[in-house]
Amino acid sequence: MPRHVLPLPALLALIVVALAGACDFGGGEPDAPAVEARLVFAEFGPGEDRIYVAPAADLAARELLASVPHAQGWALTPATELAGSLIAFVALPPEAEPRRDSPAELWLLDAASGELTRLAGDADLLVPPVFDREGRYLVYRSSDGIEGTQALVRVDLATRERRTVRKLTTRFGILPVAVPADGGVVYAELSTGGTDLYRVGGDGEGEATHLLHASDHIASGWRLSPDGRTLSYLAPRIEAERVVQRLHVTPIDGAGEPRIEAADGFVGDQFSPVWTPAGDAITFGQEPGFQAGAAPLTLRLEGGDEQGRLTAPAQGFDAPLGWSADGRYLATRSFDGRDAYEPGGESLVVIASAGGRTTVAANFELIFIGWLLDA
Amino acid sequence: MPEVARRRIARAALIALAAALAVGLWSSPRSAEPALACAFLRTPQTYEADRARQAYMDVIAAAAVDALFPGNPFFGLPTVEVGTRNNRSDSTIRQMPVEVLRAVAWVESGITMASRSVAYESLGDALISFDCGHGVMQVTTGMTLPLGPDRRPSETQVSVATHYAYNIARGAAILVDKWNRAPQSRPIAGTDTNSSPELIENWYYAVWSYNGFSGPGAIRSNHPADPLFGGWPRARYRCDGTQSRNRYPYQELVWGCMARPPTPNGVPLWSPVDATLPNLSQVSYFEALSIANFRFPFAGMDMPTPQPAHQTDPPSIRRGFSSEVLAQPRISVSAPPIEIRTEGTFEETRATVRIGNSGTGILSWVALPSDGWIVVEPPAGVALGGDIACTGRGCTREAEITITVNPTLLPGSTARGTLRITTPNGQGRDVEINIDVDADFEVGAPGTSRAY
Repeated sequence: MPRHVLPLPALLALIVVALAGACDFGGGEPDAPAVEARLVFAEFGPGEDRIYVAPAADLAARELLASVPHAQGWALTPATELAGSLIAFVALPPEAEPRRDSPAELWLLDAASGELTRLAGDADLLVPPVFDREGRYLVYRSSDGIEGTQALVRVDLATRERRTVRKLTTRFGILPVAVPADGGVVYAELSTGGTDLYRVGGDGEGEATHLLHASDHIASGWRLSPDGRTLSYLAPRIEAERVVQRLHVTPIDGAGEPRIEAADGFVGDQFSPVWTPAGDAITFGQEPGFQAGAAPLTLRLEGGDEQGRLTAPAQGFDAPLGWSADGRYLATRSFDGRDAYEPGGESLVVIASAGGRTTVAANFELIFIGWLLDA
Repeated sequence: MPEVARRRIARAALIALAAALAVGLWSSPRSAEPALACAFLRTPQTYEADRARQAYMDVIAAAAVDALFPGNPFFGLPTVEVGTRNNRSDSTIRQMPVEVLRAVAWVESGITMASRSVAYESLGDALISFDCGHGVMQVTTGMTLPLGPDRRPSETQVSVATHYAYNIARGAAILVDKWNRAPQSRPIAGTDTNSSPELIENWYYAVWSYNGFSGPGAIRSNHPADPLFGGWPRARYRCDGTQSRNRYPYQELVWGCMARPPTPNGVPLWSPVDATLPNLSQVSYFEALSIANFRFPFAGMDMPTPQPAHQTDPPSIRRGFSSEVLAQPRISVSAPPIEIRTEGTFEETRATVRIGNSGTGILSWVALPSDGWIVVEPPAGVALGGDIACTGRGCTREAEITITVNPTLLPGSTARGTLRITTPNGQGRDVEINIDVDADFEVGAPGTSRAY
């Protein structure tokens, strides 16, 4: 069972210290926000992952939030994003057979209280669970492992009620993508036809509604905009005799044409689109091409103008993971190689929107979980 | 009714009740966990060799060039088919790149035969996964059910489960079998190189198949473009324990370990070979691996050899190596008749049989009871010859079998059965041991039992 190690008083103290730090970080600017963004990440260990929180301004000052023992060699898989202070992840219990198809446990960790709750024991390890924006629901995938039946299960976090909202027997997969405000579930379905997006009601009743055909191939990297109305994702396409991943932004209801297909002027791959906190722009990584290093790029949703410039790596490229809610920090996976095929070494890097990059030091793989914003 | 008769009836009723309870419990609804139904109902024992894996590495090298069991239809290497989809045919080649076999063994088990709790150079529980993967190569094929006469483990199953040389040889044969499934039910790698098995890169689909050829999005998927493996791109697997397995298809784990050999004893286990993976930015590989092509018999997934391709010299195996490894084990069993009293003292409720190896090498053995009420623990195992290192904590060269009785399966209050101990790889005759049991139930009151 995972162990939380930061009791409430310590957390409160940490928040106070962080707030004090935030004041310093402001550097005397009169309107510096009295908040502190904190990075939440896990460091993989062969038999136990450790979840840390660290102030964005001082990443070395990490604090251990929880330890997650797990089956040998298999790390936890966090939800794509946090919901407030709620962290969700799936992990193979230590006594489980160390295989990806062993039933994994679904856990909820409240970073504010340190409370750790086991929600389910039948989750798929490699499928990230998905919150709704308000933190009312959490959707995870469960496979029977024998018949090829997969289920998307929605957990009501207030009542702990679990409800199967979609069940399908398939040779491929269904993946939870988003939980809109009405509590329904948007999911992607892979098939020989490519990737399609569907929506099903939160009560599990009725047929799934087809929203859009996302790609004839495997689309990935789904992210829901802060207002819950627009999805971003990557899909491959063939350009100039090579295959590149391209950003797509499209209304979640499937109505109308995609709002952005970031293709013009780009040569190589685009990586891991994430929404800015205001939801009016998308940040994504790009292949460096002839440059030594390429910074992530932010495009406004309306007009497609470039917004601000981030500090590029000395060499390589970034795959964004998420903006802090105050918009001051972007977490990325940073690679020192030249492209997706030869990505080189990987590290977790925080880029300040005001300039500068900081690498999170670690001897083991780091897993980005999200950002906390303490006020 | 005489007192004796009444007690007999009471005993019979109790036995029937216990049996019914047992059957009821066994057949009652259980969780979705897969049933434990491997070749052995209980975990057999095996020998864990040296920490440096030298014994295993030598055997892997020999298995890769069919130098262990040449001509053996089960443990020998099959001939490797060569050619593309249109001209695929059998060949006289009976070898595979040793680098592939080494890395698969490492990814499967860390190149260990026994469970993690067993000390190196000692005996202990075999490494068995819940889906019946056994030993170094985690051999599953043919190990999920007892395949011998009377639903007992077969000799080959005993060998795979207990002796690392047989296990590794069988794993190598299965890997070649995965290769040979193309083009009938698997795609071909190497459309531009006549799918030469000498090129490591051409083993891409065979290695993928060794772990299950599932579609993208499925729980056991190994598709390289599967979003289940997290954000794109991913750094190469380093095989040093600092990265989780979550983000890698099986074949990329193997490729990573080929390129960055593990160092369990401070020394790399092999020379690195940085084999090439299919480049999904190149149209030929992207289209081959397109999800649209993931349909039987996967002909659309045929692809050229990822370049640069790698070919290494096959290992040279010294003459007589096979004889050294397989040696000449000889079974010796201490076999007095056994009497068990279910209501006796602790010592009277069980018996012990010791199995030794008066020859050399590793003797595999299996104990085959005549009846279901005879419980043997462990059901199979090994005994070590004098030439086998036995330095690990608690290591004994002899194996020890504990025999107890499952009273719920007894045909009556007394019974006689036998235990036959045999060896698939040793010299010496089978040994048959008589077992008499007296189940002396004490009945306190009708319908109750102090015993069970």
